[in-house]
Amino acid sequence: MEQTYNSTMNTSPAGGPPPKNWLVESILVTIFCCLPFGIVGIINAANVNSSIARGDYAGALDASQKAGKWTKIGFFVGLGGIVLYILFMFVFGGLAMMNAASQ
Amino acid sequence: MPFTSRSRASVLSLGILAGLALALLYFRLDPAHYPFPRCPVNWLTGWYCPGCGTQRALHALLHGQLVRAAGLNLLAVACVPLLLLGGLLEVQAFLRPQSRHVSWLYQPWLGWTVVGSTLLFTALRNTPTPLGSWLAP
Repeated sequence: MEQTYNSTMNTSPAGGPPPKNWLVESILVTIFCCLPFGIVGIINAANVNSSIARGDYAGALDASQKAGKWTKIGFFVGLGGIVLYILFMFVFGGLAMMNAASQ
Repeated sequence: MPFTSRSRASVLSLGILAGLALALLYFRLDPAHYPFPRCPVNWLTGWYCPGCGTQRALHALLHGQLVRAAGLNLLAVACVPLLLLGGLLEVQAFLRPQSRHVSWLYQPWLGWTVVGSTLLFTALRNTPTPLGSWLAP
């Protein structure tokens, strides 16, 4: 019994759903988080699509994991930056108010 | 698996609520006048990253000013249809993982077009040409 996994529509060995490609999420990180990690995510997302078109399920799974990793790194670094920025604004705003009050 | 689908639904509704709150914030407050977080790449290097101007573009877009939004961040505006339609597919796949299938979101040309236009957009908006200054935020 011969089995080939080269069909473009059936990418997983079990015929299950394809791995998440992270394209939407990596674009969101690229245009909102202002960090180069999002672009790495988009490149890996494109690799997921190409691997699926080739019927390379293992390659698609690998690219999907990388795309997810970089998208999450971009998201959390961006979120951390926003939190630090807000803390910074509060500290400086507080200092400025104390200065104004003491004068 | 009623429990997992219920927790998925609650995560999703929290996400949608957070998104609506952000949209309301961007609608009410113009990021050009309020100290929204600045782009660290632009702050450190002086270059425009592919995301610079997205917050102001979103504010313009929420007010129906398409041309102004396109001038602030063409990439973000061009990606809106993809993000909305692709986002719907992702929501569907999030709720029912088995429903994920090779949709238009898995077209190889789509992925590489996004890669190419992001890189081209980032390079062009940093060039000292009339086109560059229009693409810059």
